Amino acid sequence: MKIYKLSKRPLALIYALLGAILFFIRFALNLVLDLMEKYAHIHSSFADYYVLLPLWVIAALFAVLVLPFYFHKAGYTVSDKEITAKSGLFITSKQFMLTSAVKSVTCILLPLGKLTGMNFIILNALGSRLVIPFLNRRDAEEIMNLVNNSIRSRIEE
Amino acid sequence: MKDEYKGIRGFFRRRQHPVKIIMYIAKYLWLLLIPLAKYLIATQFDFQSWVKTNWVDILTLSVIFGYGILRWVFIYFEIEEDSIIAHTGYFGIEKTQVYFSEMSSMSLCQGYIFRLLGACTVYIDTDAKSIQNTDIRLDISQKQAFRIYELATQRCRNKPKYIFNTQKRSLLIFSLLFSSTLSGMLLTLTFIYQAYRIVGREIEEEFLAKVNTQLEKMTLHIPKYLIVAALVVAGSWFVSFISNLLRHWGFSCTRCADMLLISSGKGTKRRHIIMRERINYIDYQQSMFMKLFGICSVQLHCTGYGKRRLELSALVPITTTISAETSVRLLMPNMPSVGYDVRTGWGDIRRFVTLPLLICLLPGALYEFLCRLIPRFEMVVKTIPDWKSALTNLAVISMVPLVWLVIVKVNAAFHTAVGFEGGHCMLSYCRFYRFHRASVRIDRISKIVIRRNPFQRMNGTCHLYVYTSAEGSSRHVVKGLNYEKLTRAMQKAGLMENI
Repeated sequence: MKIYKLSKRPLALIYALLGAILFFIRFALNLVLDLMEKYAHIHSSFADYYVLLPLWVIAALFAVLVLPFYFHKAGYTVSDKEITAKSGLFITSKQFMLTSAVKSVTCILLPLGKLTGMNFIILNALGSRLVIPFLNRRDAEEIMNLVNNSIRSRIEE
Repeated sequence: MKDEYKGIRGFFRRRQHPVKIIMYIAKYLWLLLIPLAKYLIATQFDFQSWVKTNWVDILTLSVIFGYGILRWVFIYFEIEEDSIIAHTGYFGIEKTQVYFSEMSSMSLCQGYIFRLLGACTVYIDTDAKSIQNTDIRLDISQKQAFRIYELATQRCRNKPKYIFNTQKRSLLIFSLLFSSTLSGMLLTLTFIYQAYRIVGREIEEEFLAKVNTQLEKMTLHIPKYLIVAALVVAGSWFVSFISNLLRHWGFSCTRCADMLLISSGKGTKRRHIIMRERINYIDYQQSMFMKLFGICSVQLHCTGYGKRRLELSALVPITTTISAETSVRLLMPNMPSVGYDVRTGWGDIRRFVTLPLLICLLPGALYEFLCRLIPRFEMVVKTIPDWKSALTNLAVISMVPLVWLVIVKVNAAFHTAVGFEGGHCMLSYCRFYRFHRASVRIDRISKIVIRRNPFQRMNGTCHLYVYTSAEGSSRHVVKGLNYEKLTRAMQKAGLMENI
């Protein structure tokens, strides 16, 4: 049974996004402090020590520990009978969906998906859905075809 | 059947009841009608000057009425032998055809006013997700509604029927003992909000001021907030008791062919048709008190049944547990009794009560914090001189439900279990104050999730989440199960082979 792993390519994009968010927070904080200077004197190191430093520490832990482990550990299997998904770092979860319960498949393939690995499959069942994120283009199309063939053969029966 | 829709009679026959015109515009009607009426009375019925002053409002009211009539004209339906076709939406552009064999449930509801006017609301639902809340909703004449009912149940003709009826005396006693204050409170708040929308802020404030004056007279010896709390609890319980009684009075459930035919209600009369194959699960529900006395109620989950406001999805209303199980065997003979493969017990009590015990400490901690904080605010101390005794009473009152939660969770440790057998899955769990025992068909399960935090990985337990087929999200959460036993049981049942 083939185990589908997450593509590592989105990591670079996520790191870039994280950096952009941190710089934006720094920029916004400077603006706010400049405005507040007119009314109250706030030491410049206040923002650095009490706001930015903790944020950078959390972001660093997230980037170095959480994200790589998540991408490494997550795995998905798809067969005629069932679809299983294993993911999570501190709180692990195993999801199981009978292929017969899947009513439709939504496939999100972003324009530069081949390069960025930003391809998503959403399996829709009555009352729940299962999301398989960050797949490479070939795996996403393979999963979509497998599940759609299963739905088709169910209808023909 | 097409001939009966010809001519003027046919035009009205396939339209909704004329009362629907009022329902379309009711939201906007009160906003203009009440001020207009007030002006008319103020001018002592001098129509000429009334029209001269309020011609804009009168014109707007006419446009609103016209809109209601147009909408009524454009929405129509046709009844066929095996289906119903409804043209709904704005200008009737949505055409929905539902075959009676494909529906999962159909409901007929008649309140007091509809009964007087000879009207009836028909709801038809299927398992497919539609654009609207219900696949088809029509307010039609009682004759047409019963005709649709007869057509939908024609498979039941000349077939044996198995009937379950509630006993009125048991219903009265059990509703008296086991009505819920919380549900009564929700009903009261809904009523107050609806009243506010109709009568407006001024009248509501006037009413509340009168209530406050009466309360002031009673507060010579008893603090006001205690009287209010007691009135709220007693009043909410009473509202819940009356609404339970009216809802379930005359409840009857008939199994016939592949359907369940349910009728109930004294105030609002309801009839439901439920396709047994489309039932997602049944759920035996009990509160702690009900469990002690061996009483339960059985709820049924099926698309469309029980999703309207003030509607419960009862299969067997409140009765003894033994009687409920016997009735369920009568009404759903294909549902096997499933034994449990995984149970929690004495060794799991600590896991169930840790969080509720921590939450129990919150009122005390908050009390200490406020006792230190409030003296710093002179305005508060001057306004409420007996603030400390009020705070003490409030802290004690708020502890009561939390301590009760701890007791419930101790009991939950012995009533949490899962079993798989004969294509069915039995889930026994406790959610807040309510015990559930859900019997789900495995082919109606849409997803299963097993979740473990680091502590659970150390002690070999997990949480199980079972999602069942539903229009929205319907989930059963069974906590603190042994992971190895659970996965073995699921693999034996043919689930999660690739764990």
